[in-house]
Amino acid sequence: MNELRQIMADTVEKLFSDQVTKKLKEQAEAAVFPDALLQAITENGLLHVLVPENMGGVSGQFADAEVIARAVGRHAVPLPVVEQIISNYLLASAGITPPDGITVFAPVRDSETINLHDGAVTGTATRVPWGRKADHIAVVTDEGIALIKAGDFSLTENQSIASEPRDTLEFNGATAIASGSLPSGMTAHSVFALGAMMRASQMAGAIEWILEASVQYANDRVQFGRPLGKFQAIQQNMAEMAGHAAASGAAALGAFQAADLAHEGNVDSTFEIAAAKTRISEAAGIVTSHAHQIHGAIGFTYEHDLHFRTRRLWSWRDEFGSDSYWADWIGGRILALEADDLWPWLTTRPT
Amino acid sequence: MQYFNFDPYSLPPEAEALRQEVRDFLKTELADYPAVLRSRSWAGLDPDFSRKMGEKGWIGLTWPKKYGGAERSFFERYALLEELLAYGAPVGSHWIADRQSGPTILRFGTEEQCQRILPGIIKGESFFCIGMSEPDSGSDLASIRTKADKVDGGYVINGTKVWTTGAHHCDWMIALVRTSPPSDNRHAGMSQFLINLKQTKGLTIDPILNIAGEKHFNMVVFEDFFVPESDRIGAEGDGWQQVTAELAFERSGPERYMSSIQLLIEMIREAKLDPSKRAQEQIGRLIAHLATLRRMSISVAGKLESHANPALEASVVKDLGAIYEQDMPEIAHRFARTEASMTAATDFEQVRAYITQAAVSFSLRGGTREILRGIIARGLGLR
Repeated sequence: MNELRQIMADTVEKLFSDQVTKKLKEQAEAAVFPDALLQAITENGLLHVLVPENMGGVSGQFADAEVIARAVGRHAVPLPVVEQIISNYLLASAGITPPDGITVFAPVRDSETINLHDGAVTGTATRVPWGRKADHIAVVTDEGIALIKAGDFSLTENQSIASEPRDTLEFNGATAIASGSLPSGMTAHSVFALGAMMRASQMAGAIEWILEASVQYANDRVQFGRPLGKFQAIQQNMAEMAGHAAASGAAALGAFQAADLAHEGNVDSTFEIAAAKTRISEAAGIVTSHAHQIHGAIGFTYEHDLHFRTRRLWSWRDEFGSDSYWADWIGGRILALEADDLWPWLTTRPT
Repeated sequence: MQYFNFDPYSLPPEAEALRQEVRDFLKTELADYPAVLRSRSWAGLDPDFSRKMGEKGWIGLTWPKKYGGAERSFFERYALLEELLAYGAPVGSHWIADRQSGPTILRFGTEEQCQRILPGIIKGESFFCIGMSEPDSGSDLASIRTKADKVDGGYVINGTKVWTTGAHHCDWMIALVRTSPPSDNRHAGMSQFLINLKQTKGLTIDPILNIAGEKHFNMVVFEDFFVPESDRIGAEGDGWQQVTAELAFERSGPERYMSSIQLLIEMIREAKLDPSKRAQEQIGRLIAHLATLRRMSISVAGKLESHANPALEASVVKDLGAIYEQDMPEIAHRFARTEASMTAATDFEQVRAYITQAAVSFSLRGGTREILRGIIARGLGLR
C-alpha cells in the first residue's frame, strides 16, 4: 500500500471506529438517518475520491476507493457511500460537476433499461440503494448518463435483508437537468460491474471484521473450563473462515487494481470483478455460518453486533449479480475459448 | 488486526519471457503426451525429461552460479513451475530435489556437501526423496523413532521410513532421525542426514501400491545402515528447525492449487461439446477460484523473493488449494455423461478417473488439512 493510501486507510478507520457505533447502526435501521456521519465522510473527501481535482475531488485511483469500500463493509456503515462514489465518478466523467447533497445511481439491475429521449428519462429502476434519501439520481440510460432531481419520479419504499433502503424509482418523462456520456469504453453493464466490485470489497471488509470478532470471542468465551479457541473443532472452523477471509481480501483488491488498469486502457477488468464477486459471495455464506456457530445464541440476538455484518453479507452477495450470475458470466467467456487456451489466457490477466 | 499478508505482486518481464520460452519448449516436447499422463502432474516420472530440463538450466534456477545454478529470481522460478504444471510435464523425478532437498542443502549443508551434491541435481541427474514419515509417525512428525547412533567415522541408522515418494528411483534421501533419545522438549534431539540410496548394505526399499495402482511411494527400512559424519546436514540436534523451514518451501509453490488443472481443461473441452447452463456456471465458479488462488500463490512467491517467511500464508494457500483441487472431480462427476475409467474412450473420462483417485491424497501430502488448519489457528492466536 502506498503512503497516500495508507493515510486514507488510517483516516477512514479512525472516523468509522469513532462514529459508527452500535447505537448509530440501530438508529439507522429505525430510520434515523446519520446526518452528522455523512457530513464527516463528505468533508473528508471520501465521496469524491474518483472525481478529478478540478471538479473538487481527490483524483484518486480505484485502489484508493477500495480502501474506503473495505472500511464501509468492515464497519457496516449505514449510508450510501460506495453508491455516491460511483455516482460522482460517472457524473464527473461525463463532464458534470457532482451536485451538493446525496446522489445515488440507477438502475442497479442488469435486466433494467432506462431510456433518454429529448432530455426526458423514462423507465423503472428497482431496489435502488437509498433512493428515498437522494437529492439527485445519476441515471444510466441507453444514451449515457442523465441527472434527475428528487421529486421528478415516483418512489416506492422497500428494504434489504439488512434493513437498508432499496427503493423502486419510476421515471415517467423526468427532466434530465444535465446529461453526458459514460466513461470511455464503459457500457451500462460495466456500471453494473462497478457496483459488483464495490460490493465485493464491502463484503471482504465485513468478513475481516467477522473473523476478528470470532477470534476474539473464541479466546474470551470459556466453556468446559477452557476458552472455545482451545478446542480443535473450533480451531478447524476458524482456520477455514480465515482462508476465505484471506481469499476475499486478495480477490477484492485484485478487482480494483484491474479496474485501474482498465482505466488506463490496458485491459477490460470485468473478469477480475466477476471473479471477485463470485469468490467472495461464496465465502459470505460459509463465513456467516461459521461466525454464527461460534457465537452461539448471543450472536443470534439483535443486541449483539454480529448481525450488522452478517445480514449485510446476505444482502450484498445477492446485489449487483450473485455468485451464480457472475459464475455464469465467467463460464460463458471461458467456453468461448478453446480448452487448451485456458492457461495461456489466464496468464495474461493482471495479478 | 491483520493475520496474514497477501500483498499483490506482478510477475516481472523476465519471468514472463521465461514463461514463453518454457511454454514453447513444452509444446514441442510434449506434443504427443496423453492427457491422462499429464494429469499425473508433478507425480509423473521421466528421468530423460528431467535431464532435458537440466540441459535447459531449469533446475536449481535460483541457486548460486558457483554450483551450476542460474541465480534467477523466485518470480522466474514461479513462472517456470506454473508452465510445467499447466502442461502436465513429467517433472516428478527431479521435483523434490529442486523444490526442497537442494534448498535444504544450500541453507544448512556444508560447502563440501553443496559442491558434491548440487551440480548433479542441477543437471537433472541426481534425484531426491523425503525421509520424514514413519509407520507410527504421520502428522505427529516429532514422534519419529528411526535413530542414528554414533560410531567411528559416522553413524549407524536403524528404523523405518514410509510413504517415501520415489525412493525406488532416487539417488538420495534426506532423512530426519533421532540422534538423542526423546526428552521433554519433543523437538530436540533430531538431525537430518543425506542417505545414499545406491549404498545397498543395510537398506531395503519396497514399493507400496497406491489406490490408483501406481508404484509411487515406498517403505524404506534401515538396518545398521552406515552414514559417514560428512553426510550429516548441519549440527546435531538441528533437524526439527531444518524440516520446519523445508516444509515452508514444500507448501509454497503453485503445485498446491494446480494438481487438478488437466481435469479443468478436459471439463471445458467436454462442456463445449455438450453445452449446458449448469456446466457453464460450475466452470465459472472454478475459474473464479483459480484466478484468486493464483493471485495468492504469486503473493507467496513475492514473500520468498523478498526473503520473508511464507510459512503461514503458504499454509492458507495449500488448504484452500487442496479443497479446490478436490472439488474438481466432484463437480466433473456432476456433469459427466458417461463413466469415469482409466480405459474410457475420452480424455475427459480417463483424466476424471485418475484425478478422482489421486485427489484424496491432496489434503494428506505435505501436511494434512488438520495440521495446516492448526498452523493457521496458531496464526490467528487461538493456540
